[in-house]
Amino acid sequence: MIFDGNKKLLQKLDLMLDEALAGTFSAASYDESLVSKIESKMARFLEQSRLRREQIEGEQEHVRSFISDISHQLKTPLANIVLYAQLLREQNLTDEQSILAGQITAGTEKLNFLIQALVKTSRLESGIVKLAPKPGDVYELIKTAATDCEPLVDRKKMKLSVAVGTAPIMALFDARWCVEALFNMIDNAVKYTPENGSISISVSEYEMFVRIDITDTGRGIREEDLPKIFGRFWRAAESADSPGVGIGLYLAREIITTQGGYIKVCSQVGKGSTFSVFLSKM
Amino acid sequence: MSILKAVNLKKYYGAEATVKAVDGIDLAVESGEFVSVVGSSGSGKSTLLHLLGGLDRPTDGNVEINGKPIFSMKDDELTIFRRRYIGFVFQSYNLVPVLNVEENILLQIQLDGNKPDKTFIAHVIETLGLTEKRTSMPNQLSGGQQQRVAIARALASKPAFILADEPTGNLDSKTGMDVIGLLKVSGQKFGQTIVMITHNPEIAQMADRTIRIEDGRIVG
Repeated sequence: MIFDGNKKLLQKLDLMLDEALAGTFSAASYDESLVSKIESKMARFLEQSRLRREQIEGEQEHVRSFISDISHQLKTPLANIVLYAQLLREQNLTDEQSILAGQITAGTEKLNFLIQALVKTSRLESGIVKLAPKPGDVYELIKTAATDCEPLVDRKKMKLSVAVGTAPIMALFDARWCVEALFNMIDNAVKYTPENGSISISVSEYEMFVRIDITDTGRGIREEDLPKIFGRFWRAAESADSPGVGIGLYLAREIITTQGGYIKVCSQVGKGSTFSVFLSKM
Repeated sequence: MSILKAVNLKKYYGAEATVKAVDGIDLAVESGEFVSVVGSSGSGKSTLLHLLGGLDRPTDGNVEINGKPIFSMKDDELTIFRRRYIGFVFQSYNLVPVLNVEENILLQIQLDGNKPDKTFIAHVIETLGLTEKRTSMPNQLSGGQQQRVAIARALASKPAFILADEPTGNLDSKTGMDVIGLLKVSGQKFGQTIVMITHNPEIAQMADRTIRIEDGRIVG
């Protein structure tokens, strides 16, 4: 049984906590009572928490600007290396020399891709760019991404088919970033599918989501690896021979989840994988 | 940090422990994770879920939620603990038929004598696509919509984690994908930890991690 005085006190404390949760708390009385003392302590505690939060945010900001500084400063020298490597290959080189020059180009392309992806990731994570999902036709989105992927697909003599319906299927997405996400996923499918393999893309509509399936006939993913494939810089042990750095899927997932969607994977080793992108309709 | 931990959890039935429904399960779920538990019927997955949610007491072992061993509590303590820290989503939606969507979502918070966080609740309702249905009665909603209300209700009280027991059991596969999609998206948005039991492999794939149970033991 609680005495009336205690009940009043507890109600006051309950109110104080409600105000603290809502961020509106301030000490209401200054006298010699215990309540006033508690109020002052509470105010001090909240102030400390606020300072700590600001400190953490400041540190995060340092990390962000550090990443974007690095990315930007690397761009120009990298472009120079690409340019001079190309010029070098246009000279009269011996066979051995042109293999070496080719290695420079391949390495630089990989580095270039990595830096581009890192710049995009850091922009997305730091909130420098805000995605602006707008209603749009999912088929248009797929067409753009598939066209961007054509050179990759042709290079490996693969077949890329898109099952297109007659009527547009609308969903909410940021077209520019979403093309990037789909491109990364198709690119990923191309990388891990042997020559002459095939990739098919299909769309199905749900009440709340639109689903895009990207199915390949690649090597598949082991079940224990499935939770890891979206990790930053993660690559399967057996994919050391394939190009790539392990940032594409991470970025794709960041883009899709930021706009209220999600990605699901289903895979069978030796048979292939299906990556499903779900875009929100509302 | 593990938000939910099972330590050597056992549940035996029968006089001489003839049925070992759950037979020594160790499990840790990290904050913000979406874990699915799959297994054939009779594998012990529902018993496990009941133990994790403190709905049933184990023969041996314990469950820790936020580091607190829940079975060291008395029954009435456990009931209150459950209400404050665990959100449940069942196969049947269990909505109160005489309350509208919003009232159903707020019920649990009000039972605990708390003021609902209005901005948060509005955000939850919007995420689950229920904004236009706020004042509808449960019998005016489809099965999928009712389950979305049940998910919103579970999220509204900001529990430590949500336990979902065959949440798509009464829904066709397309609606099921939709509902679990929203559960997943809400989990991502609100940093909510989710443990879901299902026998549907396609639904299970939507989780970050899948745990397979056979004969009361984790097999993968």
